[in-house]
Amino acid sequence: MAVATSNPVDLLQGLVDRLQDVPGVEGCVVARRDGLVIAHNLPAHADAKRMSAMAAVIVNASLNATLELERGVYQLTIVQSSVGKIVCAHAGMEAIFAAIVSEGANLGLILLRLESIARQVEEVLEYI
Amino acid sequence: MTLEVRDGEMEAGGVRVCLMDVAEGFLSLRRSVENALGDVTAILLYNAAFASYRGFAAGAIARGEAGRGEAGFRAAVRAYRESGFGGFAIAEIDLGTGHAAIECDEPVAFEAYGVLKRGDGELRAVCDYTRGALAGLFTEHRGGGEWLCIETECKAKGDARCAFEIGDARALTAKLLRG
Repeated sequence: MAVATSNPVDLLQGLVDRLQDVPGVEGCVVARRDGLVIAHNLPAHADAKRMSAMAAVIVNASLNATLELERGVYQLTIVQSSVGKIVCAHAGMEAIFAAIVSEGANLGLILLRLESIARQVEEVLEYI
Repeated sequence: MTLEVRDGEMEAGGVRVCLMDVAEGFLSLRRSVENALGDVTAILLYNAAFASYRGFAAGAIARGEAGRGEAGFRAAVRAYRESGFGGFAIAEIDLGTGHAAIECDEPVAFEAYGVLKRGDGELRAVCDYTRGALAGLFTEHRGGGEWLCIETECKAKGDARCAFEIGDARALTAKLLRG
């Protein structure tokens, strides 16, 4: 990946777009740890700015709870609703991501893909 | 801008306002949110101001009180200054390409003033509400689009002035990521 010479936002948009191929993923956003939107492919009804800010709050609160309650290393947060899930996690020290997942989707497969994307996001941000 | 004061309420330019101490009111509120939510507070303030000022500009344009384009944006920034938020001045503007540079020296931008007044040491720029307000005004007067406002200098962290850059959201996000 030619990270140093490319626009990092374009590289991260490419990673986010790859998730469109995963059955059950309705949209995804990558944001800075403070909630600034970096890239997304959210459905039209979702506001990327609000989604990023909420995901940052969810990840930060989950991280704090994990530390406070001495539950080891934080990995991810799954919000379960009546129509599906929202999966939030961090991608290295600099970024977080959130994916909207439809009910009945293969969560195991999706988590594997998200884990892989998170590593790549981390790599892009590390080398810019 | 005219200020109408009645018992229990106050209006400025047709909008109800109230007085809030910058350092002990606004900044205390910010610190409380920061204690609960951490760094995301900056984006929350930005988003809130963006929506508020974009809506304010849209209303003024719809009522025929303001025009779109550069003249409208200049008038909106002047109104923000006259409302007491700080001595903001447009240094560069090109609405066609989507770029503006705004500076604030004296009077100090209200958020930086609050930090300096309280003696809170800051390592980062703090004028997040103002960034959102400027981006909201710019977006509406530009007629939509994805624009971002970043603060490149801030008196709260020891710079000589507060300076803001508005431009394409994707390009400025890349600039922020590169540090």
